[in-house]
Amino acid sequence: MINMVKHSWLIFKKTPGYIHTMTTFPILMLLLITFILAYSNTHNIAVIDQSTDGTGSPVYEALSDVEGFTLVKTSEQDAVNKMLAGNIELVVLLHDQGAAKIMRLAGGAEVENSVKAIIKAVNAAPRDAAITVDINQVKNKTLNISYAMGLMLFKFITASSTMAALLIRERNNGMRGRIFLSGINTFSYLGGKALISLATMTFTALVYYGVCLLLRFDFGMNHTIYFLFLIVLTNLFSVGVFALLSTLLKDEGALWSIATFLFFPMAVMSGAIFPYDSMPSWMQNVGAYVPQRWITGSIEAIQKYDSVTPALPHIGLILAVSVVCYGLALLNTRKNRGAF
Amino acid sequence: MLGVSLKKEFLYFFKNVGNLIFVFVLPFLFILLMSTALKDYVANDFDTFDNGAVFYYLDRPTEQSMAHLHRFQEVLAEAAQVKLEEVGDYDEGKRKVEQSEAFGIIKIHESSFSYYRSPFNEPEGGRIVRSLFEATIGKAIPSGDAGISTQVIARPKMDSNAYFTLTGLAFFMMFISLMISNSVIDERRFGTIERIKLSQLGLNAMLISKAALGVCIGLLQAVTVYALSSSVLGVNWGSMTGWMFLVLTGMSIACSVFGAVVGMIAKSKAVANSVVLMSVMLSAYLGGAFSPVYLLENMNVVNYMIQISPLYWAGKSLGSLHAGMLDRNSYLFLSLQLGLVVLFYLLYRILGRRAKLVIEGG
Repeated sequence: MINMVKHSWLIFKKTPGYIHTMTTFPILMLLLITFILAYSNTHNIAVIDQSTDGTGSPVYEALSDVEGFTLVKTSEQDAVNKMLAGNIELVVLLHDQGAAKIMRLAGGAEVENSVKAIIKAVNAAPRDAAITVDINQVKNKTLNISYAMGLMLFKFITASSTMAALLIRERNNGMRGRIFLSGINTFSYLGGKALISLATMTFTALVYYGVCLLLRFDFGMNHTIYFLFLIVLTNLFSVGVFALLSTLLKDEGALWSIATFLFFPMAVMSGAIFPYDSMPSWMQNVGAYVPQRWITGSIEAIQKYDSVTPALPHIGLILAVSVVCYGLALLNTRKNRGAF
Repeated sequence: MLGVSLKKEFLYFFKNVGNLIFVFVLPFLFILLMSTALKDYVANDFDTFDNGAVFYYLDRPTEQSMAHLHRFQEVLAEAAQVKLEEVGDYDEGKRKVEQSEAFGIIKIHESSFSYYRSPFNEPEGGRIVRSLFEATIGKAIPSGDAGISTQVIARPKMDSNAYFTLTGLAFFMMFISLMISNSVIDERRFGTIERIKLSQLGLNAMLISKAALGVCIGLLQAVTVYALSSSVLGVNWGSMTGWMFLVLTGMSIACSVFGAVVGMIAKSKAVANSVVLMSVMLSAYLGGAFSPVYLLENMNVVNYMIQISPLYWAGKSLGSLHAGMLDRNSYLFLSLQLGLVVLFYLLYRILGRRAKLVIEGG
């Protein structure tokens, strides 16, 4: 087994681009999509201060201080087009003597009344001096990891396609047959490949996790180590599924189709890419049977309940499917040991 | 001769069931999934305050504090439709806040108000509610409009069905380059490219037949999506449908020629697939195929990066045409495509002059 692991490592290492494909590129890509794919729920509003008596300035400051609002710069002329394009939800025009005009589309804006309340608060008399107000301080966080979670999971789930490609290639070019003739058993052969693949992906996950910690990304959970644990679990699932696929597919060329056209729609359905709760119910019903949902559901449960216990049923399901897939891959490989 | 070559291309392409699924099924499936899943995002409706609550715990409050609390309750109900709920155990309330059962908990002790929020999973709605608390507590906020007028713009906004029909279709058309690159690789693997090069047809004819195949695939995809999106999703393509088809045809030509160039450079199908897929996916991420493009346009730096994506310009052009405007976006995109076709054609010509085009072991 140890020899097979060493052999697998050498083969993977010699495969052109393997190290970069499995480590450097995914890490860079994951960090990039964490920045780019911001499925952010922040409300974008435009505030245009047209006051000449200085009353607009404190309102502008107060609105820019609201966490959950992002102030977008625009001119009054462009404002309507930006609303129609979705760039901004509403426009606040600030006039003299604390007056304001809100422009919005006919469909309404979720935060219109909140904006009005803030404007009225700024224009109201100062707070009652008798009362004191305090809010607990929390650590400053940067980007929310959830924004890019779907594509990150998609990347990790499909990462073992490289292992599957190698397995298919070795089967088709006769290398596997020669390895079996040398006395290596099926368990060691597949185990060596799976262990190296899992180790490489875990290394990538560790680096990604470490960089996210360094950059103070918001994991939305108290114990971020659970997040790393779930990525490793995703890697395990990936190894199991792609080991099985390598025994079912004739040509490695089909792997990209499966990665793109099977796992991506599954990711969409699972709520990994968009909030599951805001999906239509038919989509949620389908998504409930998708393995990515079990992973996302586990992360959501840990985020929500600050405990791993509510996530255990999903974790169990992922483990079970991974083991079943890997077991089937072993059986198929054993059954077709001599097949070219 | 060209006709024979074209016929061969079509027969070869359409005898594959996978290709038929790609042309007729997958684009609409993608559009259906994305438009349904991102309906709220495109409409800027995030369910920010849905089922939201804020707990409060009374610890010997003064009458004045209670009056302030009731005023805040009214403000919260009007501004965010969030309710205030009393709890009898402060620590239990804090625990529930950390378990996302409420946005926060306010402890009122005599005349002091302490707001507790979860240190690790405060939702977006909670942040706004906390800001409202900070800005309004202890103040006499007038009800009603109080000098704030509202102007409602009656113009319709593009919904998620229309957005993903147009962007999703353009995204799927980019995969034409993958098919054409594989087709050119096959010509090189089987050695037929040398025969084509030496024949009367020459490599230009091969490019024309590949591009014609690409245009036909693109048009079939467009017609299929047009029919299904109009009938199933109720998308109104508007009065500029002809121009939209012209833009999409231009896109399929550019993608075909790009695929042919990659097919001429790549040493294997795997390399060609990687190059094309990486280009297509990068363009898709930046072009708004997976997220409403406004989210990307609102981000610093990213709002410049997205401009390198042809899909971004395709979306802009198709969006303008959908709104009935033949404007700068469409002219810009058509010019961009023409420029890319010329560039890729020159590359194709240069690469075609290589002495050896056949791939070893092919």
